[in-house]
Amino acid sequence: MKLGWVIRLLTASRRYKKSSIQKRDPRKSEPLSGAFALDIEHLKSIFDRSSDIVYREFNIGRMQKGVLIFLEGLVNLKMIDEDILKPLLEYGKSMPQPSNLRLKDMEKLLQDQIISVAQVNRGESFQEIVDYVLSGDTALLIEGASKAFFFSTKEWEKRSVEEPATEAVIRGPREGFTENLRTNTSLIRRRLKTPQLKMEGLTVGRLSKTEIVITYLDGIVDEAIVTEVRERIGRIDIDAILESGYIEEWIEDNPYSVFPQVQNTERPDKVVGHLLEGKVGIIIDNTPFALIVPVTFFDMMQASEDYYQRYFVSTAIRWLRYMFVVTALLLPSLYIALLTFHQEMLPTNLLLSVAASRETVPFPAIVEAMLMEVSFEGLREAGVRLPRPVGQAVSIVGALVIGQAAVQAGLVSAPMVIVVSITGIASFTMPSFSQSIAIRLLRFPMMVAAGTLGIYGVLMGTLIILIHMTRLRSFGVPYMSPAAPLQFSDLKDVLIRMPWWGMVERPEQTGKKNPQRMKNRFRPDPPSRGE
Amino acid sequence: MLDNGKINSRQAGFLMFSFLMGSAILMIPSTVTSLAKQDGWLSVLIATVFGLGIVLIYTTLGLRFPKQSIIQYSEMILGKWIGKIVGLLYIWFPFHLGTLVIRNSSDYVASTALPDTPMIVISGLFLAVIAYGIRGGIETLGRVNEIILPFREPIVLLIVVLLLKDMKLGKLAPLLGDGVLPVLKGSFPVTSFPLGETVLFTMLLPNISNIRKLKKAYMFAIVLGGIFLTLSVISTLLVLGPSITSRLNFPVQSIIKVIDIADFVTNVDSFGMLLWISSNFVKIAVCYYCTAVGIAQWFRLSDYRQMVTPVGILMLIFSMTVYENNIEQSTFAATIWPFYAMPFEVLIPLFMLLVSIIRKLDGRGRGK
Repeated sequence: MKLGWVIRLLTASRRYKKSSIQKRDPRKSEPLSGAFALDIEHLKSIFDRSSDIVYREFNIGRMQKGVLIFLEGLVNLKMIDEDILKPLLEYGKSMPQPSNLRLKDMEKLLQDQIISVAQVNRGESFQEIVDYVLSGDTALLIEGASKAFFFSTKEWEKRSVEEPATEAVIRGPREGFTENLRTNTSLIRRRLKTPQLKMEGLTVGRLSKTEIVITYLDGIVDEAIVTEVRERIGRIDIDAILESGYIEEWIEDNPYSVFPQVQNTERPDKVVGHLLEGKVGIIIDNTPFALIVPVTFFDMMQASEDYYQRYFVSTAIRWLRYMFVVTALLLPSLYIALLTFHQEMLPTNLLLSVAASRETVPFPAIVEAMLMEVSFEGLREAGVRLPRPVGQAVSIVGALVIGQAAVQAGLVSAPMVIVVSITGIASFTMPSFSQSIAIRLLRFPMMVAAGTLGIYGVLMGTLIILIHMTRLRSFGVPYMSPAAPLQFSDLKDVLIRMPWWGMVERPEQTGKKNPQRMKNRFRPDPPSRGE
Repeated sequence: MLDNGKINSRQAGFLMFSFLMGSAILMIPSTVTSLAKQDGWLSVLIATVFGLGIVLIYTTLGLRFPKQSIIQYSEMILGKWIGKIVGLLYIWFPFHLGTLVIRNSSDYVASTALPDTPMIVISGLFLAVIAYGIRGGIETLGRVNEIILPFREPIVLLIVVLLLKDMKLGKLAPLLGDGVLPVLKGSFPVTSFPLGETVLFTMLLPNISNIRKLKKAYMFAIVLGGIFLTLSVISTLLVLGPSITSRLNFPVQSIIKVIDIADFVTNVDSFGMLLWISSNFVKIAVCYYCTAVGIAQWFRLSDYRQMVTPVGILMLIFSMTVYENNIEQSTFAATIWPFYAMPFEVLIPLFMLLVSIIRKLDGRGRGK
């Protein structure tokens, strides 16, 4: 809570400026005047200095003027040519002259006979024109009409569906989300062909007007959670949303925690899996990372592949992960504690060899470990950030310099290198990157605790982390459930991975409303011997 | 209600079990064997039966007023003035107990792991961590305990198994060699420390969600705690024998030191410390929590959280000055504490139960 106070203090001075940033443009909310030339002038003044806006003026018949307005790059030009412009011009030719079209006929005619576009909307204000045009629709203004027509002609460059880069699997679908919202919703729809799957649309961001879709399975999800998600997203007041991380920071329960309380994923199958457990997915335009809430610590420890591999294997792998989480958090600090305070606990032979390798090392264990851990984190970060060809060089330099030369120079002991590398590997076994980075971060205070108070310090640090984790909630669901509070039946998906025919019920915390996954347990039986 | 958090009966039972494991398990063997010699383990079993009786008394009393804590219903039962005084006593008791346990743990940590560290650092850090937990309410304590417990107790059992080869059954003979009286004498300190101390758990009653199962959960915790305590006494007796056990401060620590697997796992008493400190965490936390909540109830405050820091500082100071050295502490625990604690653990609850039955007071019907 202290931290919160400091942050509030730091941000307080900025708060007053915020309101003045985005004044509403008074010109935009005006209705169309009906005077054709005037309206176009007005639009041009709103969109001045925008080279990508196209005004295509034309005549319908002899007298009546019309104009199409669209953003080049966001529209399907062929569609405008074939389905809007061409029919309009042809209709003008066949029209008995010189009578003007009346507005009332116009509306009917346009929609029913002339334009062959699937989605047509109408609007009366400049605001609407601006919004529609900016989102890729084509606006049509006609002389004498105080209404504008909008044709859905959206089409822009997008990445195709590819294998998700951050969550690779050996077995399982290789489709990942893309930056396109509709592609992403379709990837989910394809997996759940039921009208129970809801996709609520929202718009967030004063300037970015980012589309957000809240998706859930009606009848399975707890309505209270959906309402909470809706409310929390509705409260967001920001100029632009560039990635789901923005949303995540706005909607999490405890903003002063290192642990992620919202899960992000690139995998549609993962989202669907969670929807089936009664959770809520949040899909955001322009990013391939969807969010899932609520989430628990143990959800983050599960990869989607766990459910595709054989359950024996998955159970073993889960245990491996649990072991390695503890390793990633505690191994360096335990090593420091043992070397600094409790040498007697090491077996004599091991102690002798460790002591021999540390003979030339000029630093105490804590400094040595800090040096190594920090440089390891630096290497990792460099590997992510650098262009791929250079990244290779960095890893070679890192391995050679830190692994080999530092030991030979007597700056670092060989056991420490081993400890640091095991820790590094351990931290990458966690399926959720945001969680593994939290654990990696916590390692450093733990090392300091171990260096100052030995094993007692490690225990105190662990207790603080445990207390913190049990106090956390994600959308009302305790972060450590089902371990604490203990829900014995839900351990079927935590301690082990129950075979699918054993997962009869959804998790208690989120799936209470509709707990049955299947009617009754069906266990495949081996055929009897008499056959 | 001061703390809106809810725990269920199982969590409360788990808390009670960890509470029993804290502090006592390390000292009971020497206390008990100094009185009952090789029959010390029988004393613990008998004490468990007494413990069940004590639990019955205070849960029966508490369940008559399920929405209130002992500090609140003492006023209803005994009248405003006497009730307030009794309430004050039940603020003092957990406070005192908590400081004793803190001092005890710090002594132990200092002697096993950190001989050069000032005690105030050890106790201060421990109290700070606990205070952080207390601020989360009873819910947090219940959950943290629920995570630690399934790790700790199997390791305790593992230690017993590893010691099997060093145990000699002959050390328990002669059974009842001195008659029954020493055994009964030995059971007295065990009854009050730690079994009777569970009287503090009446403070948790308003926070328990499924209160019907509470009595069962508490009884179960006492029985299980009694079994583990007996186990600790038996294993120290079997490994060290009665005369050495009675002379040591922390006999359990000494038997953990005996563990030696293939010359590889040796001197693991520091890990033993981890186990013990983690259960002490629960014991101190419960005492600390009861004090803070008790003070808030006594003064009718709206939130107990503002009491957490002052109580913690007082506990820290008091724990530094409560006694001079280990010897004073073990003498106090063995000879004075049982008589000092008996009124809190048995006499006052029993008296209040009788009065409430005679006056036909019952808080169950009322909504408050």
